Amino acid sequence: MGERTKITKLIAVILFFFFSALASPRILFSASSYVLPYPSAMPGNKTYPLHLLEEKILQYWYFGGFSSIRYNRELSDKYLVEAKILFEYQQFPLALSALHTSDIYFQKASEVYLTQSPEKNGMRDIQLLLHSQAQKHQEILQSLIDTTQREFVWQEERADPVRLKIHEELKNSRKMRGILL
Amino acid sequence: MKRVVLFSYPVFLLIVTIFSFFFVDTHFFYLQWVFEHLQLQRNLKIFLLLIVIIIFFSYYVYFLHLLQLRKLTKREGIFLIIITALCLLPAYPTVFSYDIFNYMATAKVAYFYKENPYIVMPIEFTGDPILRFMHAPNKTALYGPVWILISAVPYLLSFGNFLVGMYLFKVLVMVFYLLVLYLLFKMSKNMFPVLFFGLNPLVVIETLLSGHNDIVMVWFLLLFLLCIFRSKYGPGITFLVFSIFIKYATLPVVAVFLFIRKSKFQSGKVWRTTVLRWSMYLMVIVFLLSFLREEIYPWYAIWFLPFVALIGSRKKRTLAVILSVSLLLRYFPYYIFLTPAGMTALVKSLITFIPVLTVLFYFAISHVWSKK
Repeated sequence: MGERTKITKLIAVILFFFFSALASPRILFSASSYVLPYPSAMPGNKTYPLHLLEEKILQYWYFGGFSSIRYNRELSDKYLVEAKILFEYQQFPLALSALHTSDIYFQKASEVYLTQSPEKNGMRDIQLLLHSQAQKHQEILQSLIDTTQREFVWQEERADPVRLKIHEELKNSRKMRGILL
Repeated sequence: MKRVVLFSYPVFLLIVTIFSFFFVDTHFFYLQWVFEHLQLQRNLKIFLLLIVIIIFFSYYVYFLHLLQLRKLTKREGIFLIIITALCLLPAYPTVFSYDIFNYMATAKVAYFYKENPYIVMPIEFTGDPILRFMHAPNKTALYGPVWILISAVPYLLSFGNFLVGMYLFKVLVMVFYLLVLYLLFKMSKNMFPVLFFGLNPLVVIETLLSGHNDIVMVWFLLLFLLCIFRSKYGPGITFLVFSIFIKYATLPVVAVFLFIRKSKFQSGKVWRTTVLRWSMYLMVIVFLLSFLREEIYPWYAIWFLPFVALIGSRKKRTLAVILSVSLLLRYFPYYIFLTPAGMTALVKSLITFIPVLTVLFYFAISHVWSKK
């Protein structure tokens, strides 16, 4: 392979990744009150694995404290919405999995927030944002507690039945978000 | 007469530099003293600005006239370039545009706060003093990663001092201005393109006064073409990529590269002129289409003016000068109406295109007339 072709291919790859990152959809929020995003692709959708891959790649794009908080906060929101819809469709194992993922991202956002200097400009706004996010999440989780059954026995094909403690999981997630309030 | 004009030019430039400080913003607390002591009535300022532009173009046309008559030596040309760069270096940069503050804010987001400027906006750092006077803090980085890397140099050398940083950004842009002129001379072996581009008041104001980074993008673009002309494809492509990732506007020039790859002839003056001509046309098209993004800003003319300087015919050069005047006049409707809405947009479009269309019409008529 000629030197020129190699360079051209390398540049094409760099250009592709750069524009992919720029063109990736962003989750937007209104500044006045905390608004959760629209649901994204759900498990089972053909594009779902691509979304997971995109999340893995984008974590490197969101470097820096504020960026990292945003990345984790937005994904925590995304998976909470996903969990809510899956609960509504009574896809309980998938819903609980999405809820756990949301918890993990929420936890990460809080951890990154705590590593930032309180003197850094803009920290107060980040604190308020995370606070209102926690509040909104708690609202959603409470509404799920009110509308879903306490437990559910789920049995996969050729597997033992599993007792899903839905309320307990939801309460744990709500309690975890309460730390910031 | 020539001596008087040559010596009055630096004096005029110094007056412009002093005049620029009358435009210090109320909120620009670093120069609070200047703001408090240098004040002029708004209408007078607008009028004087118009006079400055008229005088600037008068000098420009006169110098080009002297050059065509071979009454301006190469040495005098270099003197004019250097004196223009040095006299306008201390000028306050935000007379026409606040973009230099955007560059600085983006650099601060990247190198002080260590955040990704494509994700985090300056406005998110509430309490940062720069937010008091910058005009677009609610935008993520508008420029390419190569520009953000280059902007590390003035930002880090300023050691956090805003005024030092502001002037270092101006120095950076000035260096690239001189480098562009050097490349123009290298490509043409002639002083005319150098002075046609380098003394154009639009280029001077937008580059040396306002500190726009378009000149950096243009330098990499010219470097790409120079490498291609010397069959150095590897470095050429690298420079084109650098140019694209300054401001993205040179992306269509990739088409020129593809043309070069397909072309049977890859040397000779005719081939080089064809390459330059297509680069010019593509940059003019990008310039004309820039209204799709926001609007046609005056400094976008810097994208194609070097090509007009290099290979433009007499008519194209005349059009370029007329367009340069019209583009600088685009600032005035906003100064007069104080709003970008309403009549302002219409008047701006009329100011930009009516003179150019009139000249085009005149050329068409004279062309038809000459055939008869």
